[in-house]
Order: sequence, then C-alpha cells, then structure tokens
Amino acid sequence: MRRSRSNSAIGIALVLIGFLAACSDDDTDTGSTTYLPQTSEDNVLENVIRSWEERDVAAYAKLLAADYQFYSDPTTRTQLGIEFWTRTTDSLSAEAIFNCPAVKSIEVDIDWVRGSARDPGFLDPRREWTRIDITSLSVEVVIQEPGEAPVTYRCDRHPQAALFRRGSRFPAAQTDDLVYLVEWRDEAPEAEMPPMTWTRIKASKGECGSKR
Amino acid sequence: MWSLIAVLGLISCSDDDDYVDPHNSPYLPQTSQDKILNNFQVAWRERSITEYSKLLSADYQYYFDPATKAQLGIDFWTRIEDSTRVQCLFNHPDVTKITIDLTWPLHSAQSAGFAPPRHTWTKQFLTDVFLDVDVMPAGSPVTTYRVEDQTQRFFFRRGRTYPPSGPADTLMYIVEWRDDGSGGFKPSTAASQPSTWSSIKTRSNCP
Repeated sequence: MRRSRSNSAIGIALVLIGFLAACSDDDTDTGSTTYLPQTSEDNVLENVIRSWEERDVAAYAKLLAADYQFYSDPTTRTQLGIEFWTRTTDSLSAEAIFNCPAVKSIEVDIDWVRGSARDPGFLDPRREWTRIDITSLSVEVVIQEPGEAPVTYRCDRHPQAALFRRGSRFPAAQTDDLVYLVEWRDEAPEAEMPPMTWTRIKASKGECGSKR
Repeated sequence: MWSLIAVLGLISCSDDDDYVDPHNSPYLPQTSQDKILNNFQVAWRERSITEYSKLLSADYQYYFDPATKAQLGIDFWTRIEDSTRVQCLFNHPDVTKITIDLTWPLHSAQSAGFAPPRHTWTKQFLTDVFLDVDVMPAGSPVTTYRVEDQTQRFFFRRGRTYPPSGPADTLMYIVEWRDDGSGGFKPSTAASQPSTWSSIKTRSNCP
C-alpha cells in the first residue's frame, strides 16, 4: 500500500485545483475542501501529508490533540536531549519551516496500510486510543538561501507510530467527535551518525532561526 | 548501591514527611521518584513480585526495546502482563541469582510540559543499568544474561489511576517504563550473554 510520489502529485494537483477554485470565487473560501473530514485515522494521516505539502500550519495544527506529543527519534533524543514536543512546540516548528522563505519545497510521502488502525490494548485513560504503524515516512525539504546552492534535508523511509483519539481533550467534549493525533513517535533506527530524521527536520525549523 | 539506600535512609530521617519503616524495611514510602526507583531495585534484588507490582499504576505500560519490539510485534505490556512475566522470572527455579545496580541522578525527576491528562506526569531516566540474571537449567552450566550501559526511561504519576480513585490515592507510581535498549553491547564473554531488559523479561517463561 505504498503511497507513491504520483499520489503526492495528485495531492498537489488537488491543492492547486482547490486554490484555483478559491481564486475564482468571491466568497472567502480558503481552499479547505482539499482536506478530508477528520473522522478516521486514515483521513488524519492524509491531511498531515496535505497540510505539510500546502505549508498550512492551521490545517496541520487542527489535527493535533490538545495534549499531543511528538516523540523524537532515539538518536536525536540522546544527542539533543529532546524527549518530546508538545502541540505548541511542534506546531511552531512546523510553522517556522512552512513560513521560511528559504524553504523552496516540501514533499511528504507516508506509507501505511489503509484501515489498519487498531486498539493495542490501552487501558484508561488511554483506553480510546488507536494506533497506526507507518511503515515508511519520507520527507524532503529543499532549502536555498540567496546566492547559495540548495540543500536538501531528506529523511528516507523511516518507520513511525501514529496514535489517535477521538476528542481533542480527555475526556472529550460531547460535541467533539473528531479524530486527532495524540502521539507521534519517530521510530527512525538508531545510528551513531544518523541520517536526517523527521525530528531533525522539524528541529531545524528550516534553519530560518539561525540565518536571521 | 546499598550505600545509596543508606543515604536515602539518612535523608529520610531528617525529614518528617519521609517516614521510614520502623522495622528497617529496605522499602521506602512511595512518595517520590527516587524512592520508587530505590524500591524497584530492592524488589528485583529480593525477587519480590508483591513489592514490584505495588509500584505500577493501573494503566502502567512497559515498552520494549526496539529490537524486542520488532521480534514480538507488540509495543508494550500492560501491568498484568508485565507483573506476570516478572513473577515468572523471579520464581523460576532456573534463575539462580539476580544482581542489579541502577544509577540515576537523584532529584532529577522533571515534569516536561505534559498536558492534561498527563499533566501530573514526571520523568526520570536511569542513566546506567547493570543487571545480571544467572540462569542454570538442571544439568547445564550457568548463563548470565547481562544488561549493561543502557538507558531506561521511567514516567511517574501520583495516583494509581487517572483520575485518582479518591482523596487517599496520592502515592506515586510508575506509569510507563521504556526500555531504550540502546548503547553498545559489551563483548560477549564465556560467562555472560549481552542482553536487554526486554529480552530478559520476555525470556522468562513460567516452568
């Protein structure tokens, strides 16, 4: 069930169609029709891809539960001392990348088995959590400062674990039946000299912070 | 490590909150992360499943090291699964000796910005683990399974359940234990077999 680049291209095309539709409409349509309803784990992952490729932090942050945590890959955890990021930290890092003028392109490719979300036996208060094992995550971020050659940050086919819950908060509000990411675990294999991981790409913030 | 326990005991004597069992039990009141780790170590040393399982919250999860996780195809054990397997290990007649020496920076527990419902969680990491489990099946020589120079990550919470079951549910518990299983294995010797904590636990089938 590999989600190919061509699928990514379809996603981008959908984004463009949505954008053109928005431009041709006098209403304040923001093109949000490119996102799937946040009603299943598969749709949430699809929206993660789309929000990253659209560089849409509002859409991305909508997918994260109030108590969301992004757990670093083991090597980054050891080297940088980051155990996890909260929703705010993660969203701000993503926003820094999305808004960085030097970031020329972002491609996200996530492979998972559709409909594979499962309940691995969590107990209260995590009883309602579900999990999808992402068999492969590839992210490519191209950064080019003025007058410099482009640099590509690429994490390639790293396993990830995505955990979901209905309701942004626990316990969920009665009106909040959407599915949210409650944890994301970057399970990139440990290595002495690690290749780029999603954690490191996020931590780089497009390197905008260091260049300003 | 017994000196550490003694130091903790002395600290306890100087603090009214830190009541020490008058019968000189090596188990400290379950009121701080350091004391839980002390009790954890003593429980393993004494092979006391009762004292060990007292430390685990109702929703406790034990996360395997990555290699064991890949082999088993599961992420974690619950409190029941973990306690049952550890009990098998403690009670197994082939397990002739358990040697354990854990190192962690005292008072290093920190809350790392957890949001509700985990806002009461804290974390503390074992920076160095030494665990030897000697196994000698009948008629065979001793094999020592050794965990050395590996990090373990512990997460704690006040209250055996979330939300706490009542006003009296104020003790501290381990709510997650994550075996990093990282670090280079020491070269194998004739006497010891490099291992991870997860693989030792999963190896312990009941007789």
